[in-house]
Amino acid sequence: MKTVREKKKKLGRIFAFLLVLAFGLCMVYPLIWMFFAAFKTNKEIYTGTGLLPESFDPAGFIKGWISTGQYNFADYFINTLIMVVPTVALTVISSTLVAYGFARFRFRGHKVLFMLMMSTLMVPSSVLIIPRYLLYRDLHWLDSYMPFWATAALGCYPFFIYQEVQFLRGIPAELDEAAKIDGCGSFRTLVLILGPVLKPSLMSVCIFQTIWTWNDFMNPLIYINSVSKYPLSLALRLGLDVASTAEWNQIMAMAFLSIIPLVVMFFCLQKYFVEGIATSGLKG
Amino acid sequence: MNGRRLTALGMAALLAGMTVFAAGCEKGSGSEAERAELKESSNELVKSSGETEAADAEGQDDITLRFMWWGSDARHEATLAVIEQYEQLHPNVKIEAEYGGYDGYFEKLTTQVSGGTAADIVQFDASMTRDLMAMGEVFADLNDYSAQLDTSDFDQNFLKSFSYYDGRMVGLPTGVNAGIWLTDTSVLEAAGIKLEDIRTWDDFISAGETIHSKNEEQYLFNIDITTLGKEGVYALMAQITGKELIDQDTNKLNFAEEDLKKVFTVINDFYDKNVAEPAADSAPYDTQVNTNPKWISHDLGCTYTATSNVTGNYYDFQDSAAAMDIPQFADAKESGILFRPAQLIGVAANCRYPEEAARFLDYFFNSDEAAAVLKDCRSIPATANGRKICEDNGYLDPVLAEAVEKAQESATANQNLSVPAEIIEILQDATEKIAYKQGSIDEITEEAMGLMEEALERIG
Amino acid sequence: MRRKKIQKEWQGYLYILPWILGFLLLQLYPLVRSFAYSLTDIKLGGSYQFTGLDNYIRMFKKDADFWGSMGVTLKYILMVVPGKLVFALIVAMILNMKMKGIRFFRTLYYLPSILGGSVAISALWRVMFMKTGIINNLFGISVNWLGDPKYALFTISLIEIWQFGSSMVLFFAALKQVPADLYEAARVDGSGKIRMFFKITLPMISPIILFNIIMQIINALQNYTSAYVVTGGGPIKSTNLMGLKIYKDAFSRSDLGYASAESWILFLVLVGITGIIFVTSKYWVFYGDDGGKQG
Repeated sequence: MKTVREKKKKLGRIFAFLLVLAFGLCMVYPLIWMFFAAFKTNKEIYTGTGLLPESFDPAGFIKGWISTGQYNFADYFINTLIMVVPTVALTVISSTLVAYGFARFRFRGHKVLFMLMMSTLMVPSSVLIIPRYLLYRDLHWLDSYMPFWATAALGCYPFFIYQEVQFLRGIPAELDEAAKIDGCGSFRTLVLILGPVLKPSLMSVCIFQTIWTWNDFMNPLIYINSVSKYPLSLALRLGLDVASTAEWNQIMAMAFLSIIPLVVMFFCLQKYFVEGIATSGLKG
Repeated sequence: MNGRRLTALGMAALLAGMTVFAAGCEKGSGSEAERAELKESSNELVKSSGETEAADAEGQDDITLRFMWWGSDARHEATLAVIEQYEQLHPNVKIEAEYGGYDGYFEKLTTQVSGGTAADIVQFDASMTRDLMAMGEVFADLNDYSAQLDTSDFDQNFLKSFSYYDGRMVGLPTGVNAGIWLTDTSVLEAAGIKLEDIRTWDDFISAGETIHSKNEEQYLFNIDITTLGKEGVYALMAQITGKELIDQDTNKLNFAEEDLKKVFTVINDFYDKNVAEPAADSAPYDTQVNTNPKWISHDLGCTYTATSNVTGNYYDFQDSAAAMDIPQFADAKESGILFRPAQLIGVAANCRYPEEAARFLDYFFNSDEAAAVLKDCRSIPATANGRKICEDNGYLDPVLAEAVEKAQESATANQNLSVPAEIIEILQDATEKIAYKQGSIDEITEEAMGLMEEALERIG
Repeated sequence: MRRKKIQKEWQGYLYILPWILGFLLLQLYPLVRSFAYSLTDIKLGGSYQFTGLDNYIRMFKKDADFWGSMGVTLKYILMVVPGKLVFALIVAMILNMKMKGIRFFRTLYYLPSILGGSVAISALWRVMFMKTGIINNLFGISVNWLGDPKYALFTISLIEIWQFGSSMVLFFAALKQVPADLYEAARVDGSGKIRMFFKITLPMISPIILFNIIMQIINALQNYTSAYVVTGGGPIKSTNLMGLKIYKDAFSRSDLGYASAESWILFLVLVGITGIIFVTSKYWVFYGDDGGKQG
């Protein structure tokens, strides 16, 4: 009786395992296909059903990388980094400071201000995009990365602040009070005592902000005009736009390269991903 | 103190980490070989540029000019090559190229103009002039720079019609642009149709029906909604009314509902009678009809476009290519065929070095070297010398030359250069609705008329 | 004592100063300006006039596209949000069966979530869903995924649904926190699996369902990159999401005033939808303490 039930259970698990595996492969199939499509001719893409290309001709990568003219994908990668790295660093700094203020200090209007911050999550970007555009225009920030850096420096990512506040609330207050008794100022407490404990949360802010900024398309589309300053997202769209014969292998090759850094980062740091999502969502 | 140092350290570590990470990525992408290759090629360029000139330029300040245009790969390559030539001749001048497709170009340009970040040298369409100049003094008067920029080689009548706005020369025509009905005669012949047989719209439609009935895979007309709803409607309407779409003085529609209905009936026949490929099939190739796989596999008979678009490998049936005469209504008041500058190129009013920009344009338009590289990437050059160089060296596609010649003879005087963007959009939307059979012609016509009247009233 | 409190208060403000500046300069001020613009006929460049409620009247009375886009947006939300959550919950529950290689699967399923917003994926979708693309070739069909207005929005939605990973991780974490003794007790009572799912699992994770729904709705309204790159809003505006229409009205027609008015209505609709969800959540969300009483 018992063995039959256990056997049944085991079979069920194997079935579930296979199901999850098959479904998982379907999920990543498009990405795998994208890689191989970079080696295919248009004819293969239009008519083929197989995954592997007829030959591994790297021309798609080489020609796609050089692209047309003055700028190649090395420039676009560098531009993306110039846009992303300071944005991420500033986001981490500003949201940590603000989260610390909200989590560890009591001041008049604390509750109202926190509510206000959370409510900005709801404001659709469409409402802000026009006045922000005109504001940046008047500040002469258009066609530069300032719009990205400034929003990061000024803590305009309530989601991250919220996440860190939640994380800080989970850290016992005795920890920083002990530091204070030892004569630590509040800033030193944050950096020396809380900093190391906060690391998982900071990492997840880093990771998500990197992904969002890296993938961002609409903001660069509006704020960045010069091809010399194009990040990858705009460069890819340029390729889609211009190609007179739509050479899909080049487009797929560059699309693939553009996501590689994110994939590598994801695999190296995946434990922080999960922690980040779980803390921000669950403890609330 | 300690804390601050730590933060700084942390920041530095973070940045370092990111950079290492980034470097890793680039290596990972296998770019090193290409990098080296690029470096080599750029070294070669430096070597080949005259060393004497490099010495010559030492005393001068470095100047950077931004040049923005739209186009296809072939045009980009040619234009970039001219920029390279110019930079070698003038080592102190750097010209930053900003190029892309036509899709979204105008919105980019207007946002740049309003943001004060427009390029120094700007390619624009003659139909954009009015909207752009309405935003202020966007372009410099090129007559002010006649010392640097010689315009005598252009057809002066052409300049008079298209280059001036409010008495200022805002841009120079890059080429002579004509509407072309680029036809693959072999597709027609396979269905037993001769090019000369197609005279009227009825001929055109019945030819389309024949082709599709003989071979289900094939269609006569390779056309996209964007073009059909704009240039297509312009041509059809000009044939009916013999006038501009919109009256310049009264800012009212120059046609009646009946006229629009007649236009839309023809468009409806294209889709209803399988003259054009079903809209759902051709939609992904909108504004890039030459990338339609059916066009590449020679299953589409003809397309209507501007000669300036036909560059590079736009089509590959050179042996059977012909420029069809534009089909007409039996009682057409005029041909309605498009004939105007391919584009205009102007210098921004707030350019810091307008003389330098003018000097570059002089090279771009007047030098033999530039003409030999640019060829017909912006249709047939608008300067006599440029055209001669193209003709002498056989750079001109004979089909394009034929189309331009035909258009020159019978072009409409009504080029609809100042139709507001919103009106064009309404016409394109209506065209799309017809193509997708989203209502009767009567309904769609009535709705479009109402929308256009409302828009004109609001725009004022 | 009192002095110390004041000092602390002052410090608190100092720490949140970046956000206060950001809020005033980049959130509140643009919000007010946007409303002010919505009452004018401001364009890109040139002068403008106060036009009162004209923009709003035009939107409601004359612009059929506005309602079209609203409809498309709602349809999109109705496809994306439930689609994403159902997939996420199913996969999370399977993964919760303590099978081998959970970490591997979690990674596999999460991967699309980090890439889905990029142009690279939009480009990929354009190739895969061509009429002569791999999807049709694989299944031996000839569907016009992008050209046919019946399917285009669905095709776009797939990009978003494909990224169910982040919701899945949330569900997975929530499922782990459901006390095992609840299930044990139910089993003793003789409850079946389906009954347990509806009586225990769903109520226990309902706060996370609520959180997911709200976040995904906000997300779906913000994100129109894929519609912009893959279909450009067509065919016949069947993928013209509200965000995309606002962008086009603002930057291709340079009709900033009108676009501002549209964005405000979109904002109000979003507030309305989330408000309704919050109000009704009283009836289906069980927070920790209540849940205890119920159990």
